Amino acid sequence: MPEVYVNSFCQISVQNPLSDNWTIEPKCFEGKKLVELCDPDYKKYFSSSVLRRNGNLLRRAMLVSQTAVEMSGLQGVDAVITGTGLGAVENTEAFLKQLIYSGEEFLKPSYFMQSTHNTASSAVAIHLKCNGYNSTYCQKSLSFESAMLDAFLQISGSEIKSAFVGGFDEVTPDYFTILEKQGYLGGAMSGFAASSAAGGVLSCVKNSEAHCKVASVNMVYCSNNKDLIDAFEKTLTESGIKKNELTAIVSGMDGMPANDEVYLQNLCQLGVSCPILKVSHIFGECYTASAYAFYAAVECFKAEKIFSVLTAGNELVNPQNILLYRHCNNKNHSFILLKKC
Amino acid sequence: MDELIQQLKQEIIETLNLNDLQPSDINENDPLFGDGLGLDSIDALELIVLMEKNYGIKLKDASEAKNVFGSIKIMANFIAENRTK
Repeated sequence: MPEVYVNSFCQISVQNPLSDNWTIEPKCFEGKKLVELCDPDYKKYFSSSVLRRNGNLLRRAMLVSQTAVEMSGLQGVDAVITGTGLGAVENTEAFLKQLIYSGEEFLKPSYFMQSTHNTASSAVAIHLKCNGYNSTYCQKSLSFESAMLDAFLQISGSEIKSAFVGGFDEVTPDYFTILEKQGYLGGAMSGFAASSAAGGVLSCVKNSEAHCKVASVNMVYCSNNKDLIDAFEKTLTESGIKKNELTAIVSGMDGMPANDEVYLQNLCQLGVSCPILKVSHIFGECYTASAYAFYAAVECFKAEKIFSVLTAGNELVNPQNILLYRHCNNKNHSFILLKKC
Repeated sequence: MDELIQQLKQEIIETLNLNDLQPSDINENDPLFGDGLGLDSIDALELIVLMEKNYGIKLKDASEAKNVFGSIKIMANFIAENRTK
């Protein structure tokens, strides 16, 4: 069965875009509830005709995919698979506001065409000239994980040789207000919310920049603790490792007490003793913030250490196995195991 | 007519996000599509909405639009003759 190597992974985030400066000097956003992404100067990368047609989410997706493919050394990819909670929200909001204020007349077609969930995948495919498999997963907090599972199964099943996999979302002020009322983001004790844009190239062929491989991806609906433990152990078995061989677990803890309590309880039941890491204080939280968790883990393998900004303490050297664990409402759970290669 | 042409240039820049252009950069006789401003079919849809919203003109078919959008000057003439607001 082919291995699934992570040949590249990059991000545009609240930190410096397309950079790993955050590993040494992360920007601090203490006290902020919603932080805007730090966009690069897109004029350096795209023509004015491309820029005028595409909104922020699409610009980010295209630049992340372009950079990831360049880093991978490939000419292109066989598939484009992305995850998003709600897609291009800025355009959706603009379209809905036009609906309201124009009495459902004179609607801008561009806003309508780019307000769908799957705009990022299609824009990336056009940009990369990829005519192959193209899919978008919209599964709330497990959207990125769903995309990753699809790519993992297709590459390990020899259906495709390479794929661009990413997570993209927009958190606008209006959207944030709604999510805050729902208790999903912005609690008094929580960190900050932010849009997301991260992705990379997975391939069955290892390049010189690949420092880890995806050993296992499991998603499970758990009605009881046994289901959760079974899924966790299945992940370890498929990866050929034991529990005590885990270097660290990157969780989706975001400072929201109800959410973090679930992680702590579940991880306790899984009986893990390795350090529990989180990335939300660096990159913020949204539906596809787990793409940043994946990116952070890949950077740890690359640097052969787990950065102190993730451990809130000392650096850990030479990570071998990093597990990414995320839940959605304590019902749906995902495990992605990355292994040094 | 000159005033309408200037107004139209400004509206097209705003509607189509031609942020790098000033009204003075657009020649009123240049074609809007192809070699001129380089607009495409999605822009044509935007211009149809602009004509209806700002001037009360509803284009009946695609071939009519093709003629009307020949250049800024042709568009301005058509608007001057057919506008309802």
